[in-house]
Amino acid sequence: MQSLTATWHVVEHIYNRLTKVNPDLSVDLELAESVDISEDGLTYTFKLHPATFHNGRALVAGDVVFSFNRLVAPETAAPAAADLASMASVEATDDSTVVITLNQPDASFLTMLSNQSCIIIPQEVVEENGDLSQVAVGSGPFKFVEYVPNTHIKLEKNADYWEANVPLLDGLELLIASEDNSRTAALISGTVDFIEYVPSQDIPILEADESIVLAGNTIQQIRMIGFNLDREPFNILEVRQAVAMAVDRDQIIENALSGIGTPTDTLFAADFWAGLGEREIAPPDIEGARALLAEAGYSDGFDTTLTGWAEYGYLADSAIVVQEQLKQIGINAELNLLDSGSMGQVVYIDKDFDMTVTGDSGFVDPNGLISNNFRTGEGGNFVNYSNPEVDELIAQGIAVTDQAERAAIYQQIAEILLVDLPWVSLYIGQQYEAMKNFVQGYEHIPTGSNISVRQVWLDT
Amino acid sequence: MGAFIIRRLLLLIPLLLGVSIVVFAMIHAIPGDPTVILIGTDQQITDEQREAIRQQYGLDQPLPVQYGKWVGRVLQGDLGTSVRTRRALTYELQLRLPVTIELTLLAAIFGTIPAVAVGVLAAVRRNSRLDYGATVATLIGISVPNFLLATLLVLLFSVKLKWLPPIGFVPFRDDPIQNLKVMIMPAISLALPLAAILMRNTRSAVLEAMASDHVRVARAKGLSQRAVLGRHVLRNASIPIITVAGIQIATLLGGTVIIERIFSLPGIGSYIVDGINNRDYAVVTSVTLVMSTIFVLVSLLVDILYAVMDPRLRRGT
Repeated sequence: MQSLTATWHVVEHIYNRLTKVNPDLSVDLELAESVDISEDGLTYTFKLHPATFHNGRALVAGDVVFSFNRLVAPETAAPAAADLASMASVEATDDSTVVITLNQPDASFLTMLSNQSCIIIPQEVVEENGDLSQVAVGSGPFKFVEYVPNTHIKLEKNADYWEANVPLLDGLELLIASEDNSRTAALISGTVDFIEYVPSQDIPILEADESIVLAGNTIQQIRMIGFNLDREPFNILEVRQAVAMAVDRDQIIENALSGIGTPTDTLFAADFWAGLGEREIAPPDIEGARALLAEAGYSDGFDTTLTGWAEYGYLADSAIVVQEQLKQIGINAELNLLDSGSMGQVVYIDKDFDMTVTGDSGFVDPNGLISNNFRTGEGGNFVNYSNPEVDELIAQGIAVTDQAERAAIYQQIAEILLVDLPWVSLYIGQQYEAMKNFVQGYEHIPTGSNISVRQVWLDT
Repeated sequence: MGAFIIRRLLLLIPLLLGVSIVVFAMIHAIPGDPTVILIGTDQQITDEQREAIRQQYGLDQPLPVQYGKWVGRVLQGDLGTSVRTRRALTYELQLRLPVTIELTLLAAIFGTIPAVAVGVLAAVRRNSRLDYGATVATLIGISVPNFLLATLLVLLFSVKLKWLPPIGFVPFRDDPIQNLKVMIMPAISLALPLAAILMRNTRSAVLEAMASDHVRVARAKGLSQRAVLGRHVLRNASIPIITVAGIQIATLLGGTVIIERIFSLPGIGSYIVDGINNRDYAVVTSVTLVMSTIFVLVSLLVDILYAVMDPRLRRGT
């Protein structure tokens, strides 16, 4: 998992995308100098900054056309092809102008373009090498120097970078640490100057160290108990309500996350524009939960299974705490912790589970989370939820562009989900990066992106 | 001797075939496949797209066909390609094998030389303070799991003293000093159980030899302590010591799986773990194949060493 995430962070240093996400989660232009959106929301006209690839060739609009067409081409079989699902066509009208036509208005389109899949790549390099798995030639602030498998990735400053005054560092050396503890040890011992994914149990140790600064807090993610709505007894609303009443979120956060997390019963953080804002979460009510179970015909409780992630300690621990809490209302869940590959297959493809403690993360636009998890028949809809009203609202949510109007739609969806309870939301995690105090200019971005490394300098 | 070696090498063929079938069957029995990991659980994707990606990696074919294709390639010296890095495994192994070999060799050195020396001393000065100290050290060495020792070493030498880096492997030829700094903690963690067992065995083997009649005779002849030890005790004690050392050094390979991961070393031990996690079938089967071959070759080497040490065995084969 760590090496995967490291890869994503390499991509954003070497390549450019048309758009980027700011620390406040607003979408901004990166390689695009300007964008003009037609009245009907179907035509996006981008003007590009004059950028140059690391091999010396000027980046032109044709490269955007090539990159996007390659991503969606069936023969590429790219897992992320759906990122551009709403794109009908892309063409270059001159060297610096790209016109993208959508098959339907999509308010999340500019956000989708900030995904790592939508990087702009040079056609000749792809054709020479078959793909970009062994070479990396982009137009980004850092150039690729060397990759030693499972060890490190070396990048050097792109001295001809098109954005003014960045990057400030001469280079980056990204070490790969497969164990949580070794990241903290590497920072404290001075082996590295910066680490990401600070393990939550280490936060107090790092805070106590005067030579170290932490950056971070929220992250765009949600952790929840998902029910298999096609299976008994979780097809019964009262049973799901009973589970929701029995869980003690504070206890989960205390025991599984060393207290580093924000409890929530809905989808988004309180300050996120599409969320329901600050909410009062009802304290656990064991008696009430028992009464609901009795109403559903399970006055003696029942046996079931709880599937979860073995590889992420905090998620495994969350599942263990949930298992204990459900015992109080007579639900005896056998714990079934799986590695990532099995989890993907068992829960998300085969849907062979009763209850699962899992999560979703990395979304910027609310549509990313909501449509993938709750639209009828969607691949990510592992709980088998289906509500025509929600499907209709999801469609409306990307058809309008005004943020206030969109927020109202997503709030309406969130309210319906609170009634239907396909999930019981548990908490929103917090993510920290830690660095030596001479590392200056870094800003935490709630998507987990490290794009602000390009503005970092060392005050030594 | 020649016939013996050839016979042992021929045994490799059914052994490797068996190992590969078992590993191949086991890794495919675990739910999920490489595309599940590649796609992840957050990605919006249709069933048709998923199937197209599986086809691209040849995962839609029946298992026996996939296995047969793999065997065919291996026989031609092609171990396959990693789904994850899209690189030939022969290339990956060229990068990774030296790391594991260096780690194992260092651990073998740390695990044998001091252990044998202390073991002999403990036997010669039986019931001395050194003997008791060595016994306690052995007990700790056998009971402390190596991942715990590794963590404790990191806490002491990286976090507290800041002497040694917990991660950041550099090849020996690029920077020998830095390489050893990175390798010393993993090598010691890996070596400890080996050292403990070996010291214990050396001590009892030497004690046993010292109690034997021919040693008493040698003493009675008036030979010096040094001569008795070197000529009569150690030579006789060496066979059981080599037996234990041989088995233990071969099992060091298994220990690399955990230790390389803790210290983020790019060897084949950590590679096989990544391979399993990513369902990178070619990596798992081919690396197991390579590891089994090494294991068998090391045991063969130990057997040859016996024959060299003990003339009776030489005649016997």
